[in-house]
Amino acid sequence: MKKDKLPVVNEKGMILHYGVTHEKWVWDIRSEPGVVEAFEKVYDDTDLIVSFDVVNVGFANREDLPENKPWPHQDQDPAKPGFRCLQGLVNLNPCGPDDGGLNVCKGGHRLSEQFHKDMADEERIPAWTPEWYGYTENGMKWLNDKGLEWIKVCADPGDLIVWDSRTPHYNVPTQTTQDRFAVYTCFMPVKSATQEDLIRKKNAFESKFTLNT
Amino acid sequence: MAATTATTTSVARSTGAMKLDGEVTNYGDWRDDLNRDGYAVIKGAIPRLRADGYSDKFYSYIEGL
Repeated sequence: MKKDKLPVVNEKGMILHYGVTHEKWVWDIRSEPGVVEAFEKVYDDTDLIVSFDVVNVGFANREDLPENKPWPHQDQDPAKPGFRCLQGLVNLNPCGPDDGGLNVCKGGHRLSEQFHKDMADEERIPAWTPEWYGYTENGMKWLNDKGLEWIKVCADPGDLIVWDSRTPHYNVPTQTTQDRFAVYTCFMPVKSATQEDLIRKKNAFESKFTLNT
Repeated sequence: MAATTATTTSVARSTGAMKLDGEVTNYGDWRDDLNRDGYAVIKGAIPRLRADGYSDKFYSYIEGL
């Protein structure tokens, strides 16, 4: 796989450019009934908005990218505890134990509030938004001391993986010859967004930005 | 008795949004995993044939850039 023949893909596999998030097939995936229904069931609400999120690709035979170090994080501001947002990804290629993809800290959502109380004085890893929280070595030790396990989530093409945005997670590169294709889908109830959020989102859609809010 | 049963059922079935509080639930599907573990896999959310079609479109898109 030659770098000069490929679009810009960072070491996390995220395609952040080219407006890929607004390609018709990406919108078709987000509009799949089985995908939308899953979120409707969790929120018990059919009036949802979807994020224009990133598309993730992991080619098996690239050696030119920096190493993808585990970057455990949660996508929710610790100052706002409780379940707020369900994140999802549609898996499009076979994804076994060594094929790369999502790793989650099983049960981490349950101890989230306690974690952030205990770790309130821990130095924060710099983030571009308060809705991203990175787990430090001490934080990882806390999870381990509570007996929580990290699980590599395996899936077949067409499976939807969902997780609580408080659940610690990160992605790992493939160790096999299998390429990884995934489209992130995240829906929120319209009622959870402010009028200002909705206007900002409409403007982003019209100018084809990528937004994960 | 019938009224009591109906009430119990409706409490279990329509309690609004899920809480994801780590407790055991009895939805009988992936939602039990999600509530307990903080994540779940929804098998075949997209039928396999269509999923393979999207994978092809993904490759074509990458190759076309």
